[in-house]
Amino acid sequence: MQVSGPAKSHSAAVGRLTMLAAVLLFWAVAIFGKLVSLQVIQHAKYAAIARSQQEHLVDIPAPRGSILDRNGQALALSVPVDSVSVNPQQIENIRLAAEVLGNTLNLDQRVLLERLTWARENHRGFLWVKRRIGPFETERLKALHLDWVLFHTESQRHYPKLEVASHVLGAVYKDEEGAAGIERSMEPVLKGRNGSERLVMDVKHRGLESHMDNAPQAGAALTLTIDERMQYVAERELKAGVEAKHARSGTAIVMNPYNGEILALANYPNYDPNKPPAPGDDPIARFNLGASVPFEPGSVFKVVTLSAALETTDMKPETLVATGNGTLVLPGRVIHESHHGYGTITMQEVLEKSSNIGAIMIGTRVGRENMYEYARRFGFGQKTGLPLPAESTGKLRTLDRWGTTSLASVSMGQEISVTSVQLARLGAAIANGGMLVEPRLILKRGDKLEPAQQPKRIIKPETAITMRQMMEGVVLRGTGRVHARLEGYTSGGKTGTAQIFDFASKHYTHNYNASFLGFAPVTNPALVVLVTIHNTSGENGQGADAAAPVFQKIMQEALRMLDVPKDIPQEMMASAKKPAKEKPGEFEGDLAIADLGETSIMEEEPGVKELLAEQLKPKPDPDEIPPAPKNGPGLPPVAPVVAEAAVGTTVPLRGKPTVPDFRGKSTVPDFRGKSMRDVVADAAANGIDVMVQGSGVARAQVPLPGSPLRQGERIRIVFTR
Amino acid sequence: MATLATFFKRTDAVAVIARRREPVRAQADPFALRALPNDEIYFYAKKVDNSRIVRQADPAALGECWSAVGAAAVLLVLGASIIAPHVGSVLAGYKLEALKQERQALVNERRELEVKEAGLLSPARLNDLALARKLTSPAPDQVIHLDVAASDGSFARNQPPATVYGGAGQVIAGRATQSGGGQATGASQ
Repeated sequence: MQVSGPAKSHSAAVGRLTMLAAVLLFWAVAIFGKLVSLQVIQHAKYAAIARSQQEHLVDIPAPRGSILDRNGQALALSVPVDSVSVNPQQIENIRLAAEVLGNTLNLDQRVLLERLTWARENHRGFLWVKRRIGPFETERLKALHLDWVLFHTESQRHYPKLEVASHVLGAVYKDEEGAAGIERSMEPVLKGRNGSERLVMDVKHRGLESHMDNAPQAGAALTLTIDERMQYVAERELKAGVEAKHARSGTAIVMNPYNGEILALANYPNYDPNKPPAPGDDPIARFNLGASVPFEPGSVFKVVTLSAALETTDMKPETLVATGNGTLVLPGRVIHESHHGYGTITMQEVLEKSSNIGAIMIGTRVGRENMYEYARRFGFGQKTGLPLPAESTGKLRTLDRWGTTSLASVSMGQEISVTSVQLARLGAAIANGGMLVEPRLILKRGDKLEPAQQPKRIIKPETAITMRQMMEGVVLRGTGRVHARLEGYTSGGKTGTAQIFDFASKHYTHNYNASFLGFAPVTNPALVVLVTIHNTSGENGQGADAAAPVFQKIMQEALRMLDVPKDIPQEMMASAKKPAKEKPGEFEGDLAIADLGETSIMEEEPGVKELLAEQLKPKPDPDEIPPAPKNGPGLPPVAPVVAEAAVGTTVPLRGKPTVPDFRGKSTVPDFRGKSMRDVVADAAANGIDVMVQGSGVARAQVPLPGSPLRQGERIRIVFTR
Repeated sequence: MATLATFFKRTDAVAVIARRREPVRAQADPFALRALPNDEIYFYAKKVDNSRIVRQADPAALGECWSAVGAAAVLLVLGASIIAPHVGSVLAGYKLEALKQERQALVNERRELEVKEAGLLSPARLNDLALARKLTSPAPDQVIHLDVAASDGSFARNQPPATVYGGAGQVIAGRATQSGGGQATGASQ
């Protein structure tokens, strides 16, 4: 049977259509399959690729908390700044890039070219060009629209008041991690938590949408108890005081005696925390001497001795104390106070005249246990709790380590080392009526007040009031009468002068730590001020002459700032005569000669040994030779035994006193100006132990020429060219 | 009912045009090499004059046409209403990000200004400025503390904030009991 034409044509068309439909179906299935593959099976992969192209994970740095003074003035602030990096692999022309970046960012083009070349050759994909650039540089660089330049937001710490309160604030490292001071000790509070967000960008890198992954948590602002005006005044006057006495360093503390708030904590030398440490900088400048470096307090410690006496014995300010003719014989040593002695004086006069023998006699009545107990009560040998790193506890030997004369030594402020903060706390306890306060530096964390530690009663209120009156006598009639008096205010205080121990020669030097601890007004003390000047020398380097004037200026200004009402009537001020300078021999001075022939307690301070040795270094000009000591109060004359005793020092009695172990030499010879060869030859010929330092010609020596030479003493000689 | 062709007399116009045109093949060069073979077949346009065909009126089709137009409009509106929020969101995103950046820039600028302000208020700088203008701190005898009880009120009061000194709410003993203690004349400050 034959198929007709139209029927054949129809079946062919149906066949073609079926084929076309099948092809279309296959095509649709293929597309659907591909879609399933893209959208379902490989969804995560392609979504990630899309995200990487469209989204950018942006770190949001949490700003570090600010540090403010008690009145809200900014002492430390963090400001976001831009840093610049490049991907060396993306740079087409490295030479051109180095030129552009060098010109824009004020960089050395040659060095930059070397760095870029090195990074490219080592297949590095990231290179910091310059970190923390200024806003002007940022603007210039962004205007160039360079694709291969990346900007990163970082934070930079600023200390707008420069040196003010530098030791309290401390400093930060490059990545804003606390390096010292409050910045370090309060790091967990100040440091915030960085956040991140995903930023969706269009093809032109314009922000389209952002999703916060982790919200940044800013560091809490800290409000300090420091008053920046008072801090500035303390630093200014301390600097003037240190420079006037050609001393090495100093500390001044202003404290509220009722709650322990430190209104100023100044050290000199200080530093600018904005600048990183540089080679050649004075290392002392970065030490918080007031909190970290202990020293023997000297006569200031007599306040503790007399307070203990008032509490534990029947002694009263008018109780007579026999100081004899100025000589006190103790087991193993003799203590000489002055060429004539004070005779029998009242306990109050012991404090006013700062009689060492009087303090020892009083201490003897107090007893070892009570003396130790009261020293502990006043917080010595313990940390004060100040929120600063590396606070020193000072050193108070336990009773079982006290020697036969330790009670005598401690009574006049030797064989004990304290920090300036501990001394200021001692003054606060006397000023506030007998309560031991915890020194405070933090007033607020964020908006929250920092709770204050409850003060602890350590002496009776009547004891504290009596001590206040006795300390007022020091300013009115005693060692502080010339320089510590305030205009319009009554004040009380105590001077102190302690010899500095030289670790090289193992003996005390004739350089002093001069101190003054005072408060004002006497009836209702508003402030306590402690001033310590380190490494003074000569008669004018004692506490009354070196530290008291600084106390007077700081206290006067601080009381005016706080608008404390005057307690001396105007008429009395007008009629009051300027106190006369003490007559020669009137006062022994407050020098507590510390060289008792034993090793110092300072030797037990391993952490500060090098530091104190550093302090003893001569001033930067090695050619400047200190003048030879003259006979007079506070400085031993040439004659070894008799004259030394006459000016109020102690000499060892073990064996033959001051018997020289070399041929007829009993005083330190003058090595200055000699070559090292001559010095060594002379020293060997005379049997003197010398320690040489440097090279060239001998420029300085410790002890000074003419000083009494003790058995086994080593002389340190500094040579320079 | 007249159609558009009859209305514009299109039939006449077509006739006129037809008359004007010359036959293509008559003018073609028989010896010319043709670009395409058989172009006279494939590119031949047969002239058809259907102007006389009159379309029959169909009200149902017209209704369907309007329905289609309406549906398209509705779809357009729906589509627009679906897309518009997204477009608005994108535009708002651009604006939001720009505003965020502006805000951050302002915050940074404020911080920089705070640093500058703190530097300008530095006590050392103020002290230098005061010295340059020959200003000095008042001497102790120049500060006059007024007796409130005796004052007739003619002096301006300057009550120091006790909390500033005492901190943490603590007031100096004695200061708190003295009503108005520590007042001074404005000139003395």
